[in-house]
Amino acid sequence: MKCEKYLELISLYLDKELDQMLIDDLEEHLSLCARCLALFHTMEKTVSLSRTYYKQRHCKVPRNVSSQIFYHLRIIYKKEKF
Amino acid sequence: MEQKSKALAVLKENELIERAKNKDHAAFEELVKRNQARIYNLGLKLLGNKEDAADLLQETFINAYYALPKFEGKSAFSTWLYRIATNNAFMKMRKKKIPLVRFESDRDASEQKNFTDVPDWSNDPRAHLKNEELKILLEKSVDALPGKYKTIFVLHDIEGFSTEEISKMLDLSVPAVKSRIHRSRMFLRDKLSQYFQSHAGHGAKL
Ligand SMILES: [Zn+2]
Repeated sequence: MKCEKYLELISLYLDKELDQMLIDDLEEHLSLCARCLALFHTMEKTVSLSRTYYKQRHCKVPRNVSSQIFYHLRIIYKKEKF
Repeated sequence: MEQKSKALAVLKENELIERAKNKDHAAFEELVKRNQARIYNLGLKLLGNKEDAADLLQETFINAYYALPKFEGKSAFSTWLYRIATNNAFMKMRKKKIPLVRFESDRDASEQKNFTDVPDWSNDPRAHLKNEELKILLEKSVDALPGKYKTIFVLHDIEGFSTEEISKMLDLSVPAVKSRIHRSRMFLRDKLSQYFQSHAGHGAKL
C-alpha cells in the first residue's frame, strides 16, 4: 500500500481542508490500513494535547513588564514633540 | 482622564486604530492593553522564557507604534501585530543561533522509519495532561522544533490562525504553510510515540 501518499492528507483531513474526493479516498484507505489509522489517531491526540497544555499555561502580563511599554511610549511621544 | 480611558474601553478596534493614527496616544495605549496578553504568551511559547517574552512584547508595540501610519487595514489588526511579533521572534532566534528551518538530522531519519510500527497510543491512560512527564516532554518537543516550524505550529494548532492568515504573516505560500504544519505534527507525534513505546508495559496494555 502506498501509505506515503496519505500522510499529508491525514493532516489536511484533521483540519477539514480536504476535497470530498480525497476524503473518500483517504477514508477508504483508513478503513483498510491500521498503520495510517494509528497515525491519524495519534496525530489528532498530539494536536489536542498540545493545544490544551498551552491553554492551561496562559499567563497574565506582569505589571512591571506592561508599565515598561507605557514608559517607553511616553519617551517617544516627548521626542516627537520636538 | 479616568473618564476618557473608560470611554476608550468601549470603542471598537477600528475606531481605536483611526484615533491612534491621528496621534491619539490614549487610543494606541488601549490597543496595547487589549493585545498585550496574546503577544506576551506568544513570546513565552516561541522563546521559552519570561525575559525574552517581555522584550518581544515591548519591541513589538514600539515597532507597531512607528508602523501604524502604514497599516491599511487590509488584514486584521491582530494579523498585522503578529507579523511584527513573529519577525522580532525570528531575529531573537537568529541571535541565539536557534535553527529556523533545519531539523536535527537524526530526527529526520527516524521520522520516516518510525512510521512503520507505531502502535495507537491515543487511548493510553498516560496520554493525559495529569501526567507530569508527558507535559515536560510536550514542552521540550515543541521547543526542539526549528524556529519557523514551531512558530507555524503555535500559530495554527494552538492559537487557531488559518493557513491563509499565517501565509500573510510570514510571507509564505499557503501550501508551504500546510506542509510545515504537517511536518511539525509528524515530528511531535514521533517524540510522543517514542515515549509511549519506551514505556510499554508500565501502563495499560493496548
Ligand atoms: Zn496506510
